[in-house]
Amino acid sequence: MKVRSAGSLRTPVRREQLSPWALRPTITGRVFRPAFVTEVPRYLQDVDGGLLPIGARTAYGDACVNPGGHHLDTVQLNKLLAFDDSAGRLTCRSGVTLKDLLSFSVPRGWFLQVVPGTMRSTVGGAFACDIHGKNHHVQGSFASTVSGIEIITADGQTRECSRDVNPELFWTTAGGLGQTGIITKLTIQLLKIESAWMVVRQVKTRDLDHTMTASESSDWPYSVSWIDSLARGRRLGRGVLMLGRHATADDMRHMSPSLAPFSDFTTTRISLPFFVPRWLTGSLMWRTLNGVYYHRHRASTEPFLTHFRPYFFPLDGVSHWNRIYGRKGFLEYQIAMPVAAASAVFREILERLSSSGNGSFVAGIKCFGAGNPGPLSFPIKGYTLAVDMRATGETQDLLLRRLDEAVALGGGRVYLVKDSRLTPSLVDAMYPRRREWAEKVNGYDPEGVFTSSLVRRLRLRS
Amino acid sequence: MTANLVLIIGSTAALGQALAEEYAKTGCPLMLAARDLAAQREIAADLRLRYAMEIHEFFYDANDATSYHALIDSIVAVGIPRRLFFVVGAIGESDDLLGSGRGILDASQLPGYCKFNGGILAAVKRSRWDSRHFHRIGRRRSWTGGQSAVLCSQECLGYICTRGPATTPAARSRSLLGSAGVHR
Repeated sequence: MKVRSAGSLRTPVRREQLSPWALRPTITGRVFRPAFVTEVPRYLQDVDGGLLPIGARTAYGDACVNPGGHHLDTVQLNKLLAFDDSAGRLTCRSGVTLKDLLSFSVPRGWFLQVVPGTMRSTVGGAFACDIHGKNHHVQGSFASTVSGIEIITADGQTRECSRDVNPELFWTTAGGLGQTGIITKLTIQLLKIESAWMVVRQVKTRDLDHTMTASESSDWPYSVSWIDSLARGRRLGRGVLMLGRHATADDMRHMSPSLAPFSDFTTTRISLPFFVPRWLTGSLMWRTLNGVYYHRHRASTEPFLTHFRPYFFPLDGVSHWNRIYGRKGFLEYQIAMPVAAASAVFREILERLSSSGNGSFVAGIKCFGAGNPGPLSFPIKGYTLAVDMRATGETQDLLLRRLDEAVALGGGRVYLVKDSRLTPSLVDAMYPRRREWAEKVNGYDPEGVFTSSLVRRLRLRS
Repeated sequence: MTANLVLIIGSTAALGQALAEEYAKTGCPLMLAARDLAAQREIAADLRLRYAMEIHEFFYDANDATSYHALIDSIVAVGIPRRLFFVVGAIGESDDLLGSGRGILDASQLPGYCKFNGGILAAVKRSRWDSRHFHRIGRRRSWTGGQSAVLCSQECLGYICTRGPATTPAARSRSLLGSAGVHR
């Protein structure tokens, strides 16, 4: 529905229904999709209800929606601007998706140094959420791969910043949930690769301790454990550790000589065309599926080759997989814990989730390396646990609130980008530098132009 | 006339971008013309990076008569395009421009015009203008009005409707251009 032809704006503003990837909450808001960066500053005026820059809305929680307010969707700011083929340095607009970027860079022998679990995210969103990947323990988060950004702040000024130039704005923006301004350009350092394929090894783990020890002791650059979130008793936390590294030309010659190093991966794309009825996705189904998946793996495999797409982005193979949890959506409970408290807290969480039937097929544990200077950046040295579950209502909320307290007490934190239910009382315990972040953000945006549902709910800027 | 050379006037419009990308994929060298040079430079940089192709960039503003002559001179200097797309919606918000004929490229001024294979194409986007305005662009025309768009030419090659499920105007145009087969 067209709301207004925005006067001097070439691109119209539309009223649309929006929801994050986890489908809750679904809101109505005004959306502006500028075709070029020159249109952006004009839109900063008269944004009643506040403005939120958004990308592909792959955040699971309400970090990417602004009910009743404005959204500046960067999806059309999707141009590649420059590429230094010898150094692997790419400059592009913030609306370029990881899929688009990888389609360009992989055939040229370059890969993103940090990728999340989906290719649908935009690079601007990846920076604003400071996303992490399977190699956080060696590489850090996405911000560590970005050498500089261009951002339009609330006063309409275009500012360049990096670790050396205006580092305060750079680090406040990294993981800053779009509150410092609209990221319009990024320069990203890519990783040299010799093939589009990965050497992968899988190790079956029998319980939580085994899963965590195996994760920590591996020296592979990529490491993540799928875990059976509904297993109980001595099987609690059992899983499959998936280790990976980029295949070299030698690997390709020895392991699969007939395979071209940069051959593309084609597969039949499956789509979930409807919302799965809730009675079909109860804990019994997930327990059965988890059991089958766990037992089909051998104790340990020899290294084998797989394409980077199914290794890094297995869920992208199913369009609209978020519909599997039904119309009411789902939530992902992702936390980071310091090493000392991780095992005990993970055990408590998994026991409580498993006994209450809250869990699903999608759950994982991985090691985190040290965090970065971003005050609101999620990763801390230790471990992260993520469990998806369908949203069921109040009882689940109460359970998760108790778990939140255990997490905060142990020095851990909930991932804000995945959250849609945390209460403000625990935020400062989880993010001790939140006030420092708020002061800086309010300095760049004193009139509060930028906001979001998450920021208001958790009073992040107060 | 230069083989496969394509001129797109209004290259910064969603339809112009979509056309440019469709032709870039097939390896055709491009001439782009628009009034927003910064935006056009970005489009050209993106296409050069992705498709490693030859692109010429020109300034053209339908409100500026001198830019019209400069454009003609520039085109002639590079080579006569085999196909020309005129994204009429890129002209601006004034309805009078088309009605008066001011700013409309008169292809007969291009040497070799009569040898154009396929004639002049005009891609019209979301226009509210009366169909009589299109006499100036092509002798044959096709027009549906409203939210639709038309490829209008001496030999009408296709038809694009800008209504569709795709999220962005560019994506919408691209998917429909594909089905219209204009680049084949």
